[in-house]
Amino acid sequence: MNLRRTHRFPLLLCVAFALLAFVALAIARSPRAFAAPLTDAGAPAASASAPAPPPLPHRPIITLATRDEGARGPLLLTAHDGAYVAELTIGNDGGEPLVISRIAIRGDDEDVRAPPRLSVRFSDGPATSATLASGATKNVVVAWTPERNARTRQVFAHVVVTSNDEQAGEVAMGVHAQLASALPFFSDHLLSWVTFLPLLGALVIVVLASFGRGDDRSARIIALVATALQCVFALWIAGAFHGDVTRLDGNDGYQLIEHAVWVRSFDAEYFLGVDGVSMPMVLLTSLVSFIGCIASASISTRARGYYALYLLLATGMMGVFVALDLLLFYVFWEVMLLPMYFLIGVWGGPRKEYAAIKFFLYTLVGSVFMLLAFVALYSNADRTFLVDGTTVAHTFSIPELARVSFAGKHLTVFGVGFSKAIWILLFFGFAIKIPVFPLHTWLPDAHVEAPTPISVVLAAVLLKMGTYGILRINFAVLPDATRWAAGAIVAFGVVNVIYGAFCAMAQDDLKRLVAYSSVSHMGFCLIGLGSLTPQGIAACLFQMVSHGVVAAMLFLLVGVIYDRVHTRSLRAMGGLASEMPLYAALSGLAFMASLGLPGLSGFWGEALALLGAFPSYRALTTIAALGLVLSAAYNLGAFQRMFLGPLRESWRTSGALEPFGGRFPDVTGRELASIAPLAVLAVVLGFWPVPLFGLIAGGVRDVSSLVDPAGPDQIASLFHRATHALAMLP
Amino acid sequence: MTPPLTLTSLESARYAIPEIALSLAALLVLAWDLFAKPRARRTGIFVIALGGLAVAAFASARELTLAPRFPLPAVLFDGQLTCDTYACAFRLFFAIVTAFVVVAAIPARTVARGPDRSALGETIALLLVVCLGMNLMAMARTLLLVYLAIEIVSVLSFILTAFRAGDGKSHEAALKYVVYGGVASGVMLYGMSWIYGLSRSLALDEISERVIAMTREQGHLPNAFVIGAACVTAGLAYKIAAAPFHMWAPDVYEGAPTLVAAFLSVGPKAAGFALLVRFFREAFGAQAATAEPRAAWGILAGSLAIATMTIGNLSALAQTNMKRLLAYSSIAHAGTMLLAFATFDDEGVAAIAFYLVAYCAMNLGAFLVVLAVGEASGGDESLGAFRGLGARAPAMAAAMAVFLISLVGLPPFAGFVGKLYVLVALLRAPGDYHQWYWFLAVAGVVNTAVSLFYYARVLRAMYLEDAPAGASARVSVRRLHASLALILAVPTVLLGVWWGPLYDFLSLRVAATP
Repeated sequence: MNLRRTHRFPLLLCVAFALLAFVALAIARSPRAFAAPLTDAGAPAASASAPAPPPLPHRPIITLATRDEGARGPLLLTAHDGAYVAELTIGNDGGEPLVISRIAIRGDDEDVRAPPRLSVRFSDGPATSATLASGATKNVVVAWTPERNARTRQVFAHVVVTSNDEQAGEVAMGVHAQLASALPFFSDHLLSWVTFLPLLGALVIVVLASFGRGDDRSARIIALVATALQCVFALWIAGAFHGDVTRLDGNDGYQLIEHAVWVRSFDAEYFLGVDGVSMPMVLLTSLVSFIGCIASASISTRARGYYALYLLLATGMMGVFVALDLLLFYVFWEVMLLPMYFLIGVWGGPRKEYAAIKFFLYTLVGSVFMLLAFVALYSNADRTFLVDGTTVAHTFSIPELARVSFAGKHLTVFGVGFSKAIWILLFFGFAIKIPVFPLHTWLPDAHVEAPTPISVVLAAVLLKMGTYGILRINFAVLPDATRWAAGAIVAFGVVNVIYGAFCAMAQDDLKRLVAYSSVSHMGFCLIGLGSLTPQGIAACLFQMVSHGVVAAMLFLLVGVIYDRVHTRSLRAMGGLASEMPLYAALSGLAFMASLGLPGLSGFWGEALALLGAFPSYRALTTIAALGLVLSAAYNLGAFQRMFLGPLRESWRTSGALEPFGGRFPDVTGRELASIAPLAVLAVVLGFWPVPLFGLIAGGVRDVSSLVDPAGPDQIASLFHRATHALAMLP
Repeated sequence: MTPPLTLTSLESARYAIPEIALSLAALLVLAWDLFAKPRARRTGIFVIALGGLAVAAFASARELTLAPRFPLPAVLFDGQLTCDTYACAFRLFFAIVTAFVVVAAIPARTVARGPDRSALGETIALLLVVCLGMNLMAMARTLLLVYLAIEIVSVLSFILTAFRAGDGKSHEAALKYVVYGGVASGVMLYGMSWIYGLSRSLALDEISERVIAMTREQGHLPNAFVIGAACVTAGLAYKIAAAPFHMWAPDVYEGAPTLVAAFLSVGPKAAGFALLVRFFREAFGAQAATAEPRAAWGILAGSLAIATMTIGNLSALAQTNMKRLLAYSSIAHAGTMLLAFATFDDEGVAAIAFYLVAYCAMNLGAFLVVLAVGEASGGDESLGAFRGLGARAPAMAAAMAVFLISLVGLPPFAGFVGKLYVLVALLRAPGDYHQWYWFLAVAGVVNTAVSLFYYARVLRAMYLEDAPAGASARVSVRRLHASLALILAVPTVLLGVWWGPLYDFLSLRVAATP
């Protein structure tokens, strides 16, 4: 890809064009060009010759301004010995007196929006109302006095002002404060870093390639460094994260928020944040990205393209889990599709093209309906404020949409209630990703054809996006419809569990077996979700992490044997335990974890999901429990066919083992480096699940209290019981 | 709101600077082509053409600023043309598109003495006149001018299509174009005669008044009017290649020189939309009128949109010639824009305008890549020429991938934002016909998924398949075409991540015209 010589001219032209575009945009954004209201366009006579200022209209006009940035917020609170304080100015641009009847922080005890100890008052006294003459201004002081060791380290809130300016209605100014930290450039933007670091790596690879520098080796190093740094940032995020923060702590229960206006005319925001639901996914995604990168060593053709796409994929995945704006969520969701298509289609197995386009089409069909649902939610949202205080008629923000009562609007779509119709559209989009029977047929094909690291990423992270999306959007935004559909979710889950397990039993291709076991295990996530109980939701999250770890491990192990003998057929194997003892041990661990043996990570998710769902869905849960038996059957069956019995002597004479001197070589150091962390995690999560449950506690409480108002007490007792039980362990 | 000024011919001249500049430039190009010395001929042609287009673009842009040099809107030439921000924005757009095509038409040095050279001056002059015709389409405010403007664009397009001298396909395409065009013009004229007979006026605003008055009198839209409007819509649907008047497009795009096909798929289509929107806004008062006629038009336009999208996408699935594939894709995109048109409100118009800009960048870009690759591989414009392009011409393949993905409508590219605005316009459309608009939106997203399939076939050829046996390891495309394609990739990406200013501009200057 040497572009240096042939394409310098176009590159220069591109730069020139970008500069021109920048200048044009700068002009376009200048107030002279477009800031004038709509009516000016049609009244040229007035704008062409307007020497005298027009008379003030006979009504009060309220304006809010910050000291530095004029009318645009948010108001940044700065530290003054322990308190964070800033002033904003209310003015009256109209010809009549302005009566301010109320200034307050948005939200109340019922609907907590701001963190505690945030206050607002007029600078000259405790009164909460005032009258401003025409042209007068008045200052307002906003102050935040965080506690020592405050759990909430930042504030995103609004000061709302009610006045007799009826055209403006209630106006707001965004307020933002951030506790000081050592490395603000990193620590104030942790989520941006963790999301865009891989993209940065991809850009470096592409730029180097287009100037003829860099080779496959350097691309691999760049990718490894980028994903390793992503892991570091994810751990940093986990360190800064408080698992017990809930909605009652303000900021809608999200932490490490980054919130800015993205496209003002479309009410779209750059809104990132994590809570207990997304935090484990952030950790899982970064870990799996890194491990997949280690496992990519066998990619030898067009490796630069591979790593660039792989890093793009990593950005897309992480973005989905941290985006809190529906449009941003959708962009990340789709950004992930293309690299996946190419990664399967270019570097995959024999039927790669079929598998790639099948994956692409299935997911796109799901996501276009999802987009339709997003646009419908946006179009029917209530009036609210952007982060800087701009009043908007509609919004894409998930926490704001969660406050809209769609069911109360009595809209219908093709005769179905609005919220139910939207719920179904969203569920359809997410169900394809999970995948839910009967939309699962892309999964075995994609898994079988994808190269090992891509299978790993697919199983460990991409499937989780479906359940995550349901938790984040269906549950939070449409709780009524979720209660309506809960039974169906459980039913889908049970079908997945049983159907996936039976399919897995029938497979001869090891990768296909693991793929169907994924279908089965994701069914437990659905059962947990559908139960709506805190146990169920916690189980779903735990199962997402656990399946991510175990499925990744299984696919890596399949890759190990495939690299040696280029077959995945169980029929061809047997007796490998004596040849590859370490491999057999690791596989045994993975299969045991997959079948849900107590003491390994798979147990908690499945057991709690069934426990959580049992009170409401006895029959369904009982059937699903059968899935555990089936799961043992296919996992142990696979283990037996691979490792036990005598080794086929035909291997010795076949050419497959010639490069290794006629013996199966055991797991190499590099392979161990990618598998061992997952194995350790599977054991640790099995014996000591409390840290993970602690991480998700607040998020689970928030989600379950939305769909199941009886939530908090139950989860408190659950944790009480869980810690009791765990105290008995050594 | 002050009523627009009506100006006499002499007073109007200063508003018509773009049109005057284009006419002069076209004449000058022809004269220069005849009389200049051979050495300076080529350079001169392009300097004159680009100069004329630059004047046209600048004059239109000047009117779009907040303090226009002359008051807007104005009615020119005693009521024939309107000059408002809507028209000016489209004139600017047409000038830019034409300039791009003119630049892309600069022949390579090596073919300077080839047979194409003799027709260069004529091609450029014709392009300039087509641009003039498109300007008139955006400005027309009487039925007479509507017809004249459409015919200027159509007749010259026929000639441009037939420009591949000695190529049977080119001539066949031109003939098909003429026949279809003739029928469409006839139908449109017939419709206009109904409208004129009913309202006794050629001016769109007077027609609108009569229609509203008659609708109030009779309690429903006059039947004669529905017939007339349907016929006029048919003529305009031909111009934007909407089903069932789309049959000419694949043949014409395949037969015409690639650059002309690129131009036809963008310029006249945009002009057709400009006219369609203005026609329905002004003549039928679809906007101002009560809910009842609007719903009728909504159902008519929506059905047209569904048919166009579906036929375009389904036909594209089986294509193996890149130009035919892009032709059907452009039909499908016209359908998507018609979806927004079916809402008949300002948001819909803003969505169409934004979609046109995005579509222009990505479609022109895709055609340029086809042109460049076709030239480099000896005139092979089939899908096969794209096999292995990812390795043989990485920059071109990457640009093409960007355009194709944007054409599908995936983020973070301009095409996605265009589709997003169309969806928003549909789901927010006022009135009692929510279910119909929901149906349109569902049809739109299903079509998006269908379209992925054929765009992905090109992606697959470029990246997933190896180069055909015997093909050269590298495709050396012309530097000019490569740079133009890469330049078009910039707005395709940029408008996908940050489109606020452009949309604000369009909704303020284009959609907000009364």
